[in-house]
Amino acid sequence: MEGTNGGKVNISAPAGGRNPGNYFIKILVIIFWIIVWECLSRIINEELFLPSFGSVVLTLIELVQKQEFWSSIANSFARILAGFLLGFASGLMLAVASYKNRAMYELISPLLKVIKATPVASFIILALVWISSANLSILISFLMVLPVSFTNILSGLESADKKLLEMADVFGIGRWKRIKAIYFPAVIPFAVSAVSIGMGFSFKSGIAAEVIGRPANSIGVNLYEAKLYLMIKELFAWTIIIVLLSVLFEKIVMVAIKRYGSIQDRAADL
Amino acid sequence: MDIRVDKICKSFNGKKVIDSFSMYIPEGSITCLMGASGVGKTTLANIIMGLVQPDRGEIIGLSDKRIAAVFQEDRLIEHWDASRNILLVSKKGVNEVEVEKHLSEVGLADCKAKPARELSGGMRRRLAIVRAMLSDYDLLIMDEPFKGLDDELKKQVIAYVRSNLKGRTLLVITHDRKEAEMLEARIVEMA
Repeated sequence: MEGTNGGKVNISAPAGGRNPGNYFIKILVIIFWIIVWECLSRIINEELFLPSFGSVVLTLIELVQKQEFWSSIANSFARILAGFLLGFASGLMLAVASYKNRAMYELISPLLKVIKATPVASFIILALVWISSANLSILISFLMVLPVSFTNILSGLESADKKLLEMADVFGIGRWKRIKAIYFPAVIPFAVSAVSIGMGFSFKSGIAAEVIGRPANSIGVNLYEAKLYLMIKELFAWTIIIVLLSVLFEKIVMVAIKRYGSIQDRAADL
Repeated sequence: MDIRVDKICKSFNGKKVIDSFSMYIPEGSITCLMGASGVGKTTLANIIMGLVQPDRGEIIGLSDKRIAAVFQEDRLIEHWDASRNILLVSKKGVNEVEVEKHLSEVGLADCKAKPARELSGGMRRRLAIVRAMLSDYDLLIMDEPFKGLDDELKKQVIAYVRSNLKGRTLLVITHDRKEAEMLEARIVEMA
C-alpha cells in the first residue's frame, strides 16, 4: 500500500481506491448501514436505547449552532493533538537512539512494553493523582502513541537495506545524505502505519481521559453529561463527531507526510 | 603508497574461505584478481574495503586512502534517477553537465533522469561504474564490473575506465582473462 517513487512518498488507497466507482460503493455501504440503524431503531422503538438516525442528525445540527460545541472541539482537539505529536516525536527520538545503541534499546523497550500492556483506565486514574484534569488527555494520548511510534519507526530503521549502508560506508556518504537516500524511504511506510494506528489510539484514549477527568469545555465532558442526563441523541451525535474528527485528522497527517515526501524529492541539493 | 595484503585468513562458520593469502598492489596500477568461484575474491575485496574483519593477517598501506567500489550487486538507490545516484557519492565540483558527459561515454545518455529500477541489468552495471569513477577515491575496487555487458559495450566501458583513472589504483575482480588483457592489468591468481 505504501512505497516510494522517485523519492516521493506514495501513500495510495487500496487498488482502485481513487476510482469514482469505488467512492460510489463506499457511499452505498454507508447508506446500507444507515438503513440498518434506522430499521433497528424502529424495531426497538425506544429513543432512549437507540435513537433514529434522523433525530441524531437533527441533534447534531442543533449542536453545531452552539458556540460551546466548537470551543469543546477546539480544546479537546488541541490537547489530543499535542499528546499525539509529543508521543510521536518522543517515539521517533527513542527509536533512533535505540537503533544506534543496543544498550538504549534494552533500557527503553521493557518500559514501553509495560506502557503498551497497561490498561488505559489504570493510567487515567493514576495520572489524575499526578496532574490536573486539563492536561490528562495530553498525557494519555502521549502514552498511547509513544510505544506505537517507537516500535514502528525502529522496525523501519532496521529494515534499511544493509547492502546500501555498506555502500554508504565505503563511499563515506555523510549522515544527512544517508538519511535521505537510505533511511527515509525505509522508515516512511512504517511511520505512516504508526500515524494511522496512533491517531485512532490517541483519540479514543484522549476522549476517555476527558470523560473521567472532565476538564471544562471538552468533548469528554459533553459525553459525560449526555450519559449522566440520559441524552442519548447527544451521546450518539458526539460519538459521530469524535469518529469524524479522528478520520479527518488522520487524513490531514497523511497529506502532510505525502507533501513532506515530495519536498524531500525536490530538495535534491546533494 | 603501495598496498600490501599480508597473510590474510578468514573463515565463516568454521569453513576456511581465505587461507594466508598475500598480494601486492602497486600504487597507480591496474591489478586483476583472478581465481575460481569460491576462492574468496569477494571476501578479500570486502576485507580491503573494511566491510569484513580478517581473522588473521593485515593490510598495509590503506590508511588515509579513499576507496570507491563497484560491488557485485549494483547497490543503487532504486527510486532515485541515474544522475542523483551519481551525485550522492561524487566528489566536490561534479555537476549535472559532467554527469551527463560521463553517462554518454558509457552509452547511457538517455538514462540520466530514469530511476535506477527502470534500467536494465547492463545499464545498472554501467551506472554503478560511472558512480564509482566520479567519486573521490585513491583506490577503486571493482567486483565483476563488466558482467552482463556484450563485447562491444565491454570494450567501450573498459576504455572509459582506463581514460578516467588518471593514475589512481584499480583492483578488478574477474573470471575473464580477456578483460584483464583489455585493461592491460597485472594479474594476481588466487587459489
